[in-house]
Amino acid sequence: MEQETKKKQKKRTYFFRTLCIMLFSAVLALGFVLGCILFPLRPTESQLENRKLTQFPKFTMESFLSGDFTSGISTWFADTFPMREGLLKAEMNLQNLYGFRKDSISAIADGDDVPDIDDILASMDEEETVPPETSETPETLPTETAAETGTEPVTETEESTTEETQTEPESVNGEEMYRMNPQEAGAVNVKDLVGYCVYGFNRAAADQYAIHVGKVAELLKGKARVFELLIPNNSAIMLDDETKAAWKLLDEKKVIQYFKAMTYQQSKEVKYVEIYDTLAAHASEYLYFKTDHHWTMLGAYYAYVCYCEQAGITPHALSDYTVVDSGPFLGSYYKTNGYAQLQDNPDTCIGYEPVSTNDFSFYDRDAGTMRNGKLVRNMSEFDIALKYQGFIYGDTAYSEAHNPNLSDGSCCIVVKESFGNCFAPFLIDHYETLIVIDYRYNTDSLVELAWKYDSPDIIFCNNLEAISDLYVMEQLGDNCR
Amino acid sequence: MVFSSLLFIFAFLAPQLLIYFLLKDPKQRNIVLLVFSLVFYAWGGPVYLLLLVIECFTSWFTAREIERTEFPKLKKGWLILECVVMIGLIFIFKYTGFFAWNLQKIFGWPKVIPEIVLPIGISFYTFQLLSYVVDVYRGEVEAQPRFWKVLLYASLFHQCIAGPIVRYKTVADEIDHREITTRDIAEGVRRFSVGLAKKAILANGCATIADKLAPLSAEQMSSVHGAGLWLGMFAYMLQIYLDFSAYSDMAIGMGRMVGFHYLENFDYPYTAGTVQDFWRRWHISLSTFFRDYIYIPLGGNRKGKGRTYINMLVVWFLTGLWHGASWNYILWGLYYFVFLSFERLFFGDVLKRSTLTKALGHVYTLFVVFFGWVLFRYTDSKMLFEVLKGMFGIGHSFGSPEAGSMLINNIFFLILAVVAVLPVGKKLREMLRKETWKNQQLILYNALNAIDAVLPALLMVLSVLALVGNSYNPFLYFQF
Repeated sequence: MEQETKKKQKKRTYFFRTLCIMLFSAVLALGFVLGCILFPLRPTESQLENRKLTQFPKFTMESFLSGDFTSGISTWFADTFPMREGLLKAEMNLQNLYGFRKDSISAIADGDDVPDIDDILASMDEEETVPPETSETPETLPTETAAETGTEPVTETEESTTEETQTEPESVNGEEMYRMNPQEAGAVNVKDLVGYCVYGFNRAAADQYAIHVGKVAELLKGKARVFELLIPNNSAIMLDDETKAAWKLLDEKKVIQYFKAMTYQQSKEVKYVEIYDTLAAHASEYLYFKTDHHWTMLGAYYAYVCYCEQAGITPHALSDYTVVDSGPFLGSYYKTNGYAQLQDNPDTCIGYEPVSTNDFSFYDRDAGTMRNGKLVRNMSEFDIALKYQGFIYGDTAYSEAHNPNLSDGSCCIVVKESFGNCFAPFLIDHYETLIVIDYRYNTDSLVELAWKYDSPDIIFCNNLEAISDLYVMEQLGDNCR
Repeated sequence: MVFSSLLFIFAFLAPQLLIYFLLKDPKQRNIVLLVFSLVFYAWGGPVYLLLLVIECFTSWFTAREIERTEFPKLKKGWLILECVVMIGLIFIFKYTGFFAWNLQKIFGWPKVIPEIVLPIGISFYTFQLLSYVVDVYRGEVEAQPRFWKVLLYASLFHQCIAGPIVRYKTVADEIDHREITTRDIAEGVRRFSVGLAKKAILANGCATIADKLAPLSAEQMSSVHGAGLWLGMFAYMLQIYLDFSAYSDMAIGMGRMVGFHYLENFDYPYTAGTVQDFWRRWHISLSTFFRDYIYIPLGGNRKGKGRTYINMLVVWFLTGLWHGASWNYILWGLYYFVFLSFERLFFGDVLKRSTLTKALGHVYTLFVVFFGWVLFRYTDSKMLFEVLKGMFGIGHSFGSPEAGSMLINNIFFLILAVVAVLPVGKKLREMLRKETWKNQQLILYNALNAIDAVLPALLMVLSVLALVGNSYNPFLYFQF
C-alpha cells in the first residue's frame, strides 16, 4: 500500500516538475515572440515618461568593435519592448505596495542662500534704492549697466535640476497633437498624496535671468513695456509653515524680492507683476495641480488679474469664460518622478476658453510651417498623463493669436516656459495680437520681433524652479537680443 | 550582456535552450553551448574575445605539456609559464593603471597614466584557467585533450563573467557526460527564476535606496545625514549580497538546466556567527581558490604562528586587490585580515561558547561586515571619511526626514529583502515538505509542489515588469 502511495506520489511529483518547466517555457516563448518576432508592436515613444524611446543603433565597424553597437541593441531591446507602457504602469502599481506611501520625502531643500536685498541695494550708486515692493514702477531712466555697477553675474556652475526632452507629434482619434515635453520638476516630495516641488535657489541663474530681462527692457526703452511675472512653486503657496520648515524650504517671497532687486539693478524700465500675495490669499482654491508641477488655469487666472491691474487693463470675470473640462489628469509627479501613489488622488484639468477667440496658430517644427489650433482644447480623449498639453498645444517655439474684435494694433508678447501655457490664453481678449515665445525652443531675436509692432507689451512669465538652471538661462539669453 | 536583461532572457536564453534541447548529440549540444557562450562574451566588445581565446589556448597547451612530460622540472617550467602569462595578462589589463597612478604619486613618473579598459570577467576566467592548470600539475585532474573544450569550460556563459569560479575538476566529467533529468531542469528553472527576481526586484530596489541615501557622488555628499547614511549602507549591504548571490543563483540554475552541477557560492553569509564563518559563506569559490592555491601552498598554518599570520596577510591583501585596482579594496581585504587575526588570537572560540556569546557573535559579525561594505563602496578616500564621519553625526546632522520617509515608503520591501538574505524561506519550505510528507498530508504536500511549479513563472513575470523600466542594470561584481 505504502509502496503504491509512493509510486503515485512520484508520478505527481513528475507532473509538477513538468508543469514548472512548461510554465517557465511558456513565459520564455511569449517573451521571445513579443521581443524578437513582433517588431511592429515595439513602441517608439513613451507617453508615460514623455520621451522618445531608444532607436536601433546604427552599425559601424568602430561601434561594433567597441561594443557600443551591441550595447545599443540591448538598450533598444529593453526600452522598446512591446506593451512597455502597460508593463511600466503595472510595475509602478507594484512598487506602491513596497510600504506606506501617503507621504514621501525624497529631498530637503538644497541650494544657494538668498542674499539680503538690502545689501544689493546698498551696493547701488543710486540714491533711490528702494525697488518696487508694490506694483509701482519707478519712473527713472536707467543710468547704469551691470558692468558699470560691478554686479556681474555669479559664474559658479550648478547641476541642472530640470530636464528637457522633445518628442514627436502623436495622433489621437485622427487629431494630430503637437507636443514637446514640459519642463520636468527636480526634487519632489509628497505629502497627503499631493506632490510638492522642493525648490533650491540658484543665484547664478537668477542673476542671468535679471540681466536678460533688464537687457530687453533697455533695448526697447520707450518702445515697449516690459513686465516681469515670477510664479512661485506650489510648495510655497500651498504648504503649511510647519512642513515648509521641516523641508527647509526657502522663503520664495524673499527669492522673488531678490529677482526684483537684481532686475531693478539692470533696468528700472521693468514693471514687476506681484502675484505671490494674491495666490497666497487664494491658497485654499485649486491653484496648483496635485500630481503635476504646473499651476492650474485658475492659478494662472489670478496672475492674469494681477497683470491686468499693473497693465491698466480691465480683466474678465472668471464667469465670463466657457469652462473646458478635460477630466482626470496625472501629471509629471506621477509619470516622471514615479510617485505611483498619486494615482489615488488624480487631478482634474480645467481650462477656460478665451472670450474673443480660441483660435491660434503655432510653429510646427516637423512640418516647418505654422499650423492652426485651439488655445484651450478639450483633452478628454487624450491619455490621462497628457492633459496639460491642452493649453496652446504644449511648449511650441512660437505661436500667435489674433483677436477678431480688435484692430488697434495692440500686441502682447509672452516669453515663457511651460507655466506660461495656461496664462497666455487669457491675454488674447485684450490685444489685437498675442504672441507666445517659448525661449527654450525659439532662436529668433525678441527685440527684433518687438520692433515689428507698435508699443507691444512684453511679459516674462516664468516659474522660479524652471529658471533655476544656467543652461535654460543661456537659452533665454539667446532670445534676448 | 547581463543576465538581468530582457535581451538575455528572451533573445538569448530562450533560443539557446530551444536549440540545445532540440539536439540530442552531446557533442552538438556542447558546440551550441560554445557558440552561444562566445556570442555572449563578444557582446560586451568582440576585441576581448581574443584575450579569452589566448588565455584558453595557453592553459590548454601548458596543461597538456605538463601531463605529457615526465620531467618534474619541465612540468614546473610549464606551470610557471602558465602563471606568468595569466598573472601577467591580468596585471596588464587590471592593474597597470593603478600601479602607474601610485608610481606617479610617489616618483612623478609616468607622466601619463595609461587608460586600459578592463575586459569583462577577466578576474573570473583567469582564475578558472589557473586552477585548471594547477590541478593538472598536481595530478588532481587529467588535462583536456581538446582545445575547444577548454574554451567551452572557461567561456561558458553561465559563469564566465561573474562567477562562481568553477574548478575544472567540478565539471570535467560533465563536459563529456551529462545526464539531464526532469528534476534537474525543474530545479534549474526554480533557481534561475529566484535569482532573477532577487536581482531585478530586490537588489535593484535596494540599490535605489542606497544610491539615494548613501550617494556616490561628491556633489550629493553635502545633503547626506547620519540616519540616511546608516539606512543607505544597510540597503547597500542587502544589495551587494542579493545582487551577487543572484548572479550565482542564475548561473547555477542555468547550468543545472543543461546538466552541469556547479558548487554553491553562497551559504547565507549574514547568518554567520564570526568573521571567519562569514568568509566560509561568502563567495565560497573565491575563498577556496585563495585557500587552495595561495594559502596552503605558502604553508598555511603548518609553519608556525608567525608564518601563519604572514600567509593570512598575503591572502587578504590579494583578496582585496582581486576585487579592484584601488586602495580601498586593499584596505577592505586588510580590514578582514585584522578581524580574522583577532578572532584567531583572542575571541574566536569565545563567540561559540554559549547562546549569549553566539548572539553577540552574530551582532559583532554583522557590524564588521557592515563597516566592511562602507570601505568597499567608497573608492575615494575623502568620500569614505566623509561618510564615516556623517554616520556618527560629525559634520552632518544625524536626523533625516528623507531616511524616515524612505523607510516608511519601503518598509514591506525592506522586510522582504531581509527575509530573502536569511534562510527563512528555504527552511520553511523544507520543513513543510518534510512534515506533510511524514504525516501523509498529501493534499498539502501537493499544494506545496504546485506552488513550486507556479512560482518560477510568476517570479519571471514580476522580474520582467521590474526590468522593463530599467534598461541598464549591470551586476556589481562585473567590475571585478
